[in-house]
Amino acid sequence: MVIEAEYLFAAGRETVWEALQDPDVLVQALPGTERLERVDGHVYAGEMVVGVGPVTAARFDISVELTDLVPPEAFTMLVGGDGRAGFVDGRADVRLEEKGARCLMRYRADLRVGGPVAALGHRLLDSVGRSMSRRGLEAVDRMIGPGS
Amino acid sequence: MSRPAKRVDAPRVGVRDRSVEAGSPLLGTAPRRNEDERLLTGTALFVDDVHLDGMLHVAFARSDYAHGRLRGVDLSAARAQAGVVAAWSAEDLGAYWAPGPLLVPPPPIERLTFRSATQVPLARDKVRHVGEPIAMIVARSRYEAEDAVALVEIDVEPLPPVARTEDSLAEGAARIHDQFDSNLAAHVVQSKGEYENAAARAAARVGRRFRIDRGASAPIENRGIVASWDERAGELIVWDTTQAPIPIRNGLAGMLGLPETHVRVIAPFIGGGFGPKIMMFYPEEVLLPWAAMQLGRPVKWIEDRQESFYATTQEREQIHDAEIAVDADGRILGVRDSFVCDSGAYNPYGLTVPINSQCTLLGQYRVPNYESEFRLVYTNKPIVTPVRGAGRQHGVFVMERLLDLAADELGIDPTEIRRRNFLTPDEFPHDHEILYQDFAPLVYDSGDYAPALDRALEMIDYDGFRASEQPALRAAGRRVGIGVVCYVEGTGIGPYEGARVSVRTDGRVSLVTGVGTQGQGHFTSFAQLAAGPLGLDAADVDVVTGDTAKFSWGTGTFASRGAVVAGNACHAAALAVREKVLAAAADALGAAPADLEVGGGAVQVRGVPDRRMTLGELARRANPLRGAVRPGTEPGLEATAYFGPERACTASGIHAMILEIDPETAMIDIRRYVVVHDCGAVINPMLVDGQIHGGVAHGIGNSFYEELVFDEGGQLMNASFMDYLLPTATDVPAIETEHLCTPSPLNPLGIKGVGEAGAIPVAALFAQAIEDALGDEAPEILEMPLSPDRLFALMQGMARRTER
Repeated sequence: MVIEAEYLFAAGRETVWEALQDPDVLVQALPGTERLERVDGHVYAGEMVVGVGPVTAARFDISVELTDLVPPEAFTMLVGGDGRAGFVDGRADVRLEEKGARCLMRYRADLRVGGPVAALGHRLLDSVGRSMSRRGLEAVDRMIGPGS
Repeated sequence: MSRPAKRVDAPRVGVRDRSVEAGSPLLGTAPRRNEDERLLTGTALFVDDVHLDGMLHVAFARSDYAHGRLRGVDLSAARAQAGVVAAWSAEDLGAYWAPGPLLVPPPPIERLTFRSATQVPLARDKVRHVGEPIAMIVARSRYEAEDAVALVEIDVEPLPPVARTEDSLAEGAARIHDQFDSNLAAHVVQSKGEYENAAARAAARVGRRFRIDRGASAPIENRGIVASWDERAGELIVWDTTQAPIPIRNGLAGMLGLPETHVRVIAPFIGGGFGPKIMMFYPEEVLLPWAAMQLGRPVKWIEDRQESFYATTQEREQIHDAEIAVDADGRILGVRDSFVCDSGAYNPYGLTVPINSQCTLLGQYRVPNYESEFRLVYTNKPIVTPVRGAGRQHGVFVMERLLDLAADELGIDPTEIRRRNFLTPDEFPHDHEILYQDFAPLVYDSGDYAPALDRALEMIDYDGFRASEQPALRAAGRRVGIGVVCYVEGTGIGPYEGARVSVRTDGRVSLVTGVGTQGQGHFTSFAQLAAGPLGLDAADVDVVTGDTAKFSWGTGTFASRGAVVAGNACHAAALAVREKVLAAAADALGAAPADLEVGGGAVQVRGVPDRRMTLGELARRANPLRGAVRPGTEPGLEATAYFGPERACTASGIHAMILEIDPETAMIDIRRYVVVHDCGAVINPMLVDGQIHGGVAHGIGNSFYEELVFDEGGQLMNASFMDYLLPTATDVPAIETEHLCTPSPLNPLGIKGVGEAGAIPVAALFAQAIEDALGDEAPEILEMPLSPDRLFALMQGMARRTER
């Protein structure tokens, strides 16, 4: 599953970059995340609950790693989620651009999904994936505010 | 006693009615079914109805990955959960862990490469398809078992999956079985004559790539197993939704180190088999009995619907590159076909499916030159074994489409091109010079195809439709099309089946046979065969099927062979009992057997009503408690008989359909559906119609609704009936059937099989009718299944092209 989109933050690029390194902000970026803790450096682990169609409360153990960091303009987020309802595995390549005083984020997420969540929710994976990304970024946007 | 049976006379074509001569007066009748009362009042036993004291419940942890190295399985959390009694992975099985047996070795074909890899009870070292079982949990309830499944820690290192059949042999494709140098499971070439020479003289050579995709069998009842081990008696009882209880019994006995007499496998009432339940030694089948012995408690596993999409075998994926060469009159000079057939992750069933494709392609036609080559390949998808039709639909699809394309090129009517190529009755038996799935040469035993085509065209008013109805509808802007396709089905293969008939002291008859029943009506059809020679009604016969303790020799219900093989055994046993009845009555009544007549539950001296004895009395006399018997006497009025045909017998048929396509939604409406069918002598026409109706419904599903969709990761995207579409009542039309009969010379009753027939030609029929409905600008339909979605896209494409 590939999701390619962009999002315009209220805040400027530097602010958004800093915010995304903070696990408390990242938690917002991934809706349904109940817990996300820094393990080491740019590696985080936690738990997430997701609903996709008939799979209503799929609990996943997730790991997130930020790599290939080129502050403040780009990074890659490696995501892994494993649970009873299946697994999610993939990467999101993120670019942050300046658009006036605001930050424009462009991202491309390439995810492999497997197990029951794919088998039962396939029709909805695309739309759920997009809506989750958008909601997450909106939450981050609200949290950061117009920034400095 | 019982209601008078309804006699339905099937029109005879050709050979005399040998069945009546053989003494089976109930042939061709449709009495009420013996099994219906139990089924309709909910008192029939299905596997999930079995409840035993102390019974535990099983759930399986299955792979989410299509391909990977299994690095470790940690069951500690699962075992610690409340309610869990045991948990096992491959390691814990010790010496019991072994790949399953190869069920069908390859036929003795000369040009053959075969590399067998069969399924394992629990994954060890590697996982090879989504849903492959990795661990077994036993708990007090299924809920607790499934909760524990969620606690199983599985460490899989994902490997690149081989999901698309066409990629399996590509350079650099990941190897699914490390012991082989590629994903090739088999390579087979069969041929007769010389295609190239023949094709050089052709007026037209038409070739295309054809593709048919996977479908599930979707029985109303999923699989299930209950196993119970009695330590004191040293006996194992297994209830299993299998189509093959006797081979399962034999295999389990061997695996568990038990004598066959101490293993009982019962296939009770089963809600549909359709092929995947003849697959044997499924992981669950092999593990439940072992678990019962380990724990000393009965265990039960009932497959849930989502599980069935991975854990029960599937079929249908093939890609053909085929070509036909015809002369100016449309007569076939030769056919060449090269295809790839998907085996899934393992290949327990050998070459049955692709060989059926290879052989059934020849159809009702004279094909002087034929070259057929296939590659069976491993992929990281669930295992493929026969599903109703078992590869025959692919052969039919390819041949019927090639004929349509050739007809189009030469400007010949599609029904006419077929007629010109039919084998004629004087050409039987017809040797096609290649080998069939039963290891015997493909020889058609009997058939008469032109009258069947005539009748089908008459029933659907083909000429009238073409001449007036279709043009009128088209002028009104409606998209209405007609299709007519032909097929054969090799049925009634060996090796053999058996039956035992006994007259009981209450005057009723017991009939026991080794095959199982999954809805075919055996309790009635076999009863008819036993009742006839004994002058009784079908309702007077109590039938037992599928219990190895009651009858323990045979193979199973598959390949449209139950009626032919087990049926003839039932009949032969009944005839043998008839002889004993006559001898016993001759002795009791002091008359010659020739002067006796059997009827109404008794034997009587002809013309002397008071010299008469009921069957029950004769049975009592035949089993005295005192006195001496003459040497060589067998007690009772009982006989066991076996029947094994020399080779398959050839059923055939014509399907015709008129359908309409909604130009805006691409939804289809089947206005007429006609089947003219020849399965030789018919035991019970109502049951035959039922088989045809069910087969057609399945065929409609495979043509327009049902498709198992896998992504490039080998993940099944539609493992539920939300997204795997089964035809509903509004999608299956009223099916008009008619029976013709060319009796088979290969069995005394002259019958041929019919179980799969309805499903076989439907895809070809849809392709033809839809192209016809779409008219001259129609795109070629070379892939099955279609779907409303895909048809819509094709029609959009058409509209765009015609706009330009």
